[in-house]
Amino acid sequence: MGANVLVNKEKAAVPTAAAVAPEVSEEVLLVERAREGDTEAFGRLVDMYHRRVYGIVYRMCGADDADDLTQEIFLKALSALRSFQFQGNASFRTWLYRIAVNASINELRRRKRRRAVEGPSLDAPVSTEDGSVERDLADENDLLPAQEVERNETQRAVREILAGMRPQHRLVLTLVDLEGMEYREAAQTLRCPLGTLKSRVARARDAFAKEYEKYQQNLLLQAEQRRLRHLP
Amino acid sequence: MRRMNKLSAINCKQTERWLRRRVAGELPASAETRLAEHLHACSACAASARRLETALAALHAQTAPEPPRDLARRIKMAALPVRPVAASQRWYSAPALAAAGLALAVVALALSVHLPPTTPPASGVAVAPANSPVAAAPPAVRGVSRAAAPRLAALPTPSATPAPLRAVRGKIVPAPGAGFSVPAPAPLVNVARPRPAAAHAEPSVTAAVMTQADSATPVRLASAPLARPRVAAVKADDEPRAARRTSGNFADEAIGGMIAGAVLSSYLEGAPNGVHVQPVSASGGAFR
Repeated sequence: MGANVLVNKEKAAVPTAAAVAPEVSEEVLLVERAREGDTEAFGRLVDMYHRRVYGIVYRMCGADDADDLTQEIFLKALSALRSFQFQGNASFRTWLYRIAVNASINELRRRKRRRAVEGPSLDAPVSTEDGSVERDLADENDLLPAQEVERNETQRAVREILAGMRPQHRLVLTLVDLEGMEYREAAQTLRCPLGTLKSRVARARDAFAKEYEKYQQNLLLQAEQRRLRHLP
Repeated sequence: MRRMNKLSAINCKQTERWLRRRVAGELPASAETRLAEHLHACSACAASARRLETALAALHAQTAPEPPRDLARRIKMAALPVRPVAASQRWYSAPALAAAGLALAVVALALSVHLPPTTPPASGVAVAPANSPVAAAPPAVRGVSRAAAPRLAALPTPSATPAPLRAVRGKIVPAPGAGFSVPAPAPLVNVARPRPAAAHAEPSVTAAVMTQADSATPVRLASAPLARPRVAAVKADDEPRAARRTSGNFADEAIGGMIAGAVLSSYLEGAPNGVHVQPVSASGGAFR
């Protein structure tokens, strides 16, 4: 009897297209149509989410290959769409972000393995005692629109600090602080309990604040050195 | 009143937790006042709070990376279903390729049967007389006297002059007028391309005159380089074992070997009795 009740509860927890909230219903309908092979519906889903997926990949793996990886993520999602089911509060969006996160982590692992075999890349971040710092190379990527807006010194510093952080910390900061996800959605994306996510975010923020303070102190020191150098 | 203030005061550790909750937007309004009081009184906690807020402000000020303009279009294009080409629209198919290969093999076989025999001496094995310019180099003979050593040369082209000394029925006999003979009861003439000792060594012709007493006496005959002397003349009942190949495409080798064997055997059909001519691979092994 108890088991039956449990099964009924689980069934009741799975929302149907008609039962979900109105703002989600469009997504549900699009997913249903895309699952049946409607390329137009899938294109609409691409329009809705490709910016955020690109943002996650960009923050996690950098600008190189971010667009290729984004395309790969959507194609992977399309091929796995048949196995996707709306369960509980999990939405297509969360499912897609999870694919993006996993693809980004796999890409980082692949790069790590490649570095172990081939040695460090010339444009890889330089590891120092104070963490890793990206090389300041003037290459064609500087002309990309995505990087032109990051020429602000503070933004560049933040990016460098994030690139030098542990992937776990970078991931939660990317989802919560940079992409603006709710804690609950981020927890669903990472498939971890809400409390665990909150403590991860808190630790990541502390780590980032520590590094950012070092950066600011370094700036002050450099400014002081410049001032002393120009003294008569 | 003073006691109440003491009770409401929080320590630095709790302040740290509350700061995190405040950053997350989860600190109740009632706790805000107590937190502010502590930050006002504790410079270390105030510095910590400032550090965290400054860092988060910088983090939140990050602009979202702008994806390439055509990214969405590229994804949509890549997501379009690719319709496979129907088998009827392809100009090739696996059965057709197999049939073509079979037809080639049949043609090669038919050619090998119907081609007229060519002149035997011109088929790749010839024995040159001592005064022949082909065998001008002095042979290094071990176990066989220089005068009795036959001078053999593999002639890869059919245009070579027939030699007066030739292998007939397993024996090397001099042509009329030649000044020597090999007194071997059952000699075996083996003209094969030896493996060069050094990487840049010039390939030359080596003949092994095998007798019952001395089964393998290599005789270096002529050092003239061979253009394509990949022909081994061996006795039919004493064929050397082919080296076992551990690499390469078996299908390629089998089909190639079959066709080449058929063509070459017809080309060399007039070889002497008891002498079997077969192609050898680049590694020295015989084609099976």
